Amino acid sequence: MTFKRYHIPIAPAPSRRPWTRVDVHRDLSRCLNCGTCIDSCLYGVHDRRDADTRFMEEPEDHLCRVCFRCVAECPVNALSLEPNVEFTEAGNGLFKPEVLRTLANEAEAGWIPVTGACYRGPFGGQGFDGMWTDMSEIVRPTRDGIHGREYISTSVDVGARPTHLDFRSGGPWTPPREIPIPLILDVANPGTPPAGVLAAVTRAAKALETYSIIPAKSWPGVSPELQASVLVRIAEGEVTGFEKAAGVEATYRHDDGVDLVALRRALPHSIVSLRVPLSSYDRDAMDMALEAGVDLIHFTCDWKEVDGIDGVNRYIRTLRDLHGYLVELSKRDAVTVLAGGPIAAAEHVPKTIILGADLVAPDLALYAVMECVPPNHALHLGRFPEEFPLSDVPWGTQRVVNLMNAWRDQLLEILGAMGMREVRRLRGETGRAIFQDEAEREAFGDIKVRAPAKEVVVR
Amino acid sequence: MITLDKDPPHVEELKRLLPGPQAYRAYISKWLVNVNDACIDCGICAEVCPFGVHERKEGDLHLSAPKSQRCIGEACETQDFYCVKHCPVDAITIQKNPLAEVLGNPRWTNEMIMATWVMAETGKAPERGLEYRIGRAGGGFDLLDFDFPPSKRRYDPESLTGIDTSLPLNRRGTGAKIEIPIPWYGGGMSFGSVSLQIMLARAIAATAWNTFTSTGEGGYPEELVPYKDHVITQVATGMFGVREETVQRARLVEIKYAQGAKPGLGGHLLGDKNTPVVAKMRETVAGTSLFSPFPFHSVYSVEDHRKHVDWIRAMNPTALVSAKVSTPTDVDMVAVGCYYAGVNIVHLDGGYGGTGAAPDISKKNIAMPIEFAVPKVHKFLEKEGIRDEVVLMASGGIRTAWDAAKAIALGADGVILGTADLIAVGCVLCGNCESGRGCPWGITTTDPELSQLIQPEWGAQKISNMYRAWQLELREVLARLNLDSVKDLRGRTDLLVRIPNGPSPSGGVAKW
Repeated sequence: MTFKRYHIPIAPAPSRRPWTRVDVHRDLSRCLNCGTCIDSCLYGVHDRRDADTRFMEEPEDHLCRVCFRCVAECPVNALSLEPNVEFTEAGNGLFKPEVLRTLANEAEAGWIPVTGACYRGPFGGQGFDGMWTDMSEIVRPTRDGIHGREYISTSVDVGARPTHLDFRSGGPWTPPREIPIPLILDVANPGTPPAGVLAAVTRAAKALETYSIIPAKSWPGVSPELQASVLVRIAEGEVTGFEKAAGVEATYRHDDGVDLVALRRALPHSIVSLRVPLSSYDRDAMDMALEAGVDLIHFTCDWKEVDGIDGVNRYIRTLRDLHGYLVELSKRDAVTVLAGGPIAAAEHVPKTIILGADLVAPDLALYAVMECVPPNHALHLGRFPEEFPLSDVPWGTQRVVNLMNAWRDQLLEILGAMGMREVRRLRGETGRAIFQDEAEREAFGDIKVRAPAKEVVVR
Repeated sequence: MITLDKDPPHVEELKRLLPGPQAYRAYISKWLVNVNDACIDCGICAEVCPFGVHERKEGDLHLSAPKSQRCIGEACETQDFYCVKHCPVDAITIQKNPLAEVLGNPRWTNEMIMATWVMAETGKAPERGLEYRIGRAGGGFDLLDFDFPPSKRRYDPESLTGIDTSLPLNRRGTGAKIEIPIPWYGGGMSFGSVSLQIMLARAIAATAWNTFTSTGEGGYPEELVPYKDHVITQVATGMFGVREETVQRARLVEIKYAQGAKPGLGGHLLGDKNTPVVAKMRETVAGTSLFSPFPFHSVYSVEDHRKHVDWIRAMNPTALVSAKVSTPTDVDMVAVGCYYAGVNIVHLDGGYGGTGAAPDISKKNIAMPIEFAVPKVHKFLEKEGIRDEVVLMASGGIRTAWDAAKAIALGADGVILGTADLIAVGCVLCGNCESGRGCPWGITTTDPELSQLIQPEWGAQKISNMYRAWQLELREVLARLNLDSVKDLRGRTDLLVRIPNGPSPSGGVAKW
C-alpha cells in the first residue's frame, strides 16, 4: 500500500457577482475631475472615462476596501462612502452580510481569509459566538507555526469503531469507512436541489473523497460514477433501489418511522443513517439507533428553527445532550454523529465538533457559494434573482471544493493552536473550550451589578 | 537603506503640547455641516458657534468652509447658539455624515476612533458629542463602568498633577529599577508589519514620555538606536534580527511566546510586504511569505523558559525581562510558570488584539479576551503569594484610558498599546494591512512611496498628544474615585460595576 497525501484540488473560481460593501458616491456638482482620487486609491476604484478622459468614470464600488483615503484627499469633498443596502440587508440568521462575503471569498480562492487589524465583531454573544477554543502555550507535538500542518489528521470514521475484535461471532464485519475530511455535503436538508446544484455538489463530494446527502427524488439524476459517494435520504415506501449508493438515511419520528432494523438488515454493507431533527429529538432516538446498529446519527434542523439565536442555543444544548447521553451509555464509539444545520462559517466546524459531533454537514452555505437560492428560500441572498440557475457545473463544483479546502485549512489552524494532531480527539472536548457565561461568572462574579434604572453616563 | 527626509526632532520639543494636525484636508466627522450658495457671508454663525465650526479668517471676505469635525450635531438643536436657527437665509444644514456608517465596529466604534483622532490632534479628550469611554461590543470592558461616589464636583484634569500615574516595571529584589510615568507602553509591531517611520514615531513618543515601545519580531533598525533606552528588543519565535548587540542595548527585553490575535500560530508577514529592505533586516528572501514558527522549539517546559530568561540575562545582566503570552484556559498556570522562570513582567495579550496579518478565524475564536484573563491571573498570583513580585501588563483590545483604568481595576498593573497608537497617527481600522502595498495611509506598509506619507516627528507628536489626553483622563478617573495613585487602583473590583444592558451593538458601527 502506497502512502497518499490527501490533497484538495483548489483553483480560482471568481464570484459571478462580487459583494459590494459600500457605494462610492461622487457628487458631480462638486467634482473638479482633477484625478486626485485616482492617485490616492490603491485598489483601482477611480479612473477616467475611456471615451472622454476629461471626465471621471463612475467609481467601481466592488473594488473598494473602505480605506477612506480618496474621501480624505478629495480637494472639494466630492466623494462619500455609503453602506450598500443590498449588502447590509442580505442574509438572515447566522448568515450575516459579513459571513456571506467571507464565504464568497473562501469559495473564490480556497484560501484562509487573512486580514490585518484587530477582531471587529461583538465581544461574544449567544450560540457559537459565546464560545472560544483553547490554545496551548508551549506544548506542541508536531507543529511549527503553520508549517507541519500536513502532520495533523482531519480523517474521521463513518460507522461503529469496535472497542475490541470479536472472532467468535463469525459473521463478516464491515470496518468503518474513513473519510479524510470531517465534512459531509448535505443538499437534502434545504429541499430538492435543482439539477445544477445536485451535479455540482455530488461531484465536489467525490473530489473531496467524502459523501453528499441527497433526497431520494434526486437519485435518478445522479450519474453512475458518482453514486458510490452519495447518501440517499429516503421517505417511507422508498426503501429499495439504492443499493448502488454509499448508504441511505431515514428520518426519525417518535411514533412511527422507518423500520430501522429491517433497513439495516437489507443493506448490511451500506451506511445506514438515522436523521434526527432538532424538533423531534429525544433520547429514544439514540436507543433506537443503537439497537438497530446504524452507522450514523445525523442530527440536524430545519433552517427556520435556528433563524433566531434561541434556536441556535437550543441546538447547542441538544447536541451536547446527544453526545453526553451516548457517553453515559458507554456507546459513543458505537455510532458516528453527524451534525448539520446552523453551520455558516469555518469556525462552526471545530465548535460543533467540540460540542460532540464527529462530522459536520454544511447545507445552506453550499447554496450561498454557488450563488443559488435554495428551494425553500431559506437563505436571503438579496440581489440574487429568485432562481439563479447554476448552469456552469464545473464552476459550482470548484466553488464548493474551494470552500471545503478553506474550511479544512482553518480547522487545521484551530487544531494546531490547540496543540492537537487529529480531529478525532477534538470531539466532545468541552474542557478545551471557553464558554462565555462560565468565564464571565469567574472573571466578573465579584463585581456588583448596577441597578438597571440608572443608565450609562453618556456626556 | 531607508532614508528619512530630515533628522528626527529633539525629544524636548515633544514634551510640550503641540498641535498634531491631520494630514489630509477632509475630516471623517460624525456630523456634516453644509453651507449652500444662499450664504451672504454675514458671519452671524461664526459669532454664535462656541465650537468654532464657522470661522472667518482675519481679512477674508468669505467665511471659511465649515469645520464639521467640531460640530456637536443634534445636541445643539435645543441650544441658543444653534447656527441653523440663526442663519438669516437658511443656508446651513446639518446632517449625519454617511461616512460614519461605514467606519468602526462594535469594539472600536466610529466615535471612539474619531475621539482618538481629536486626542491626537489637541492633547485633550473631545469635550462633548463623541462617546469615547465605552464601546458597543456588548461584553468585557463595554459592560463595566466605575462606581463613582456621588459628587457634584467637576474636576479640571489639567490641575490634577498631584495624582501619581507612575508604574515601576521591576518588583523583584534584584535588577535595574525602572519606573515609567504612565502605566502603559507600546506593544511590539515589527519592521515589516509597520514602516520604519511609524517605529520611529513610536520610539520618539516613548522617549518623550520616558516609557517604552517594542521592536516587534522583525529586527532592530539602526535608526532606532538613538532611542535605545526606550525601545524594547523583542525576541520572538522567528528570531528575525535578534543579535547579541540588539539584546545588549535594551533596558527591557521581551520574549514573545504568543500573540492574542493569532494565538498558537506564530507571526505572519505575507510575501507582498516582505520587500528587499525588510528581507535584509530579517535575513530572508524578499517576496516570500514569512510565517514564524510556533512555539520556540527550545522551550517545551517552564525549565526551558527559565533557560531562555537566563540566556537573555547572560548577554545583558541588567535588562528586565518580559514574557508575552496569550490567554488559554490555563493562563493562570502560564503566569506562574513565567514567574518561576524569573521574568519581571508577565504580559498577557488577549484575543482581541491587533495584528498586521492574521487568519480571521483566529482573531475571534482562539483563546479568551483580556477582560477574562486579567482577573483570573491576578487572583491566582495573589493566592500563590507572588503577586507583588511580578508586574502584570494587559494588552489586546485596550482602546481608551478608560479601558486601561478598568484593566487595572481588574488586576493588571498597567497596559500595553498597539492599535491605539496607530489610530492616533490616522489609522481608520480598514484592515487592509496584510497584503499588496499595505496600508493606504502609509502606516502598516513597507512600500517606499507610501511610507513617506508619515513623518516620524509628526507621528510622534500625535502619539504623544494622545498619551497626554489619556493621562488626563486617567487622573480624572482616579480623582473621582478619591485615589491618589494608580497603584491603589490595582485589583479594586469593588470600584467597578457591571452594566446589565450595555450600549446597543447596533449604533456607532459600520452597518454590516
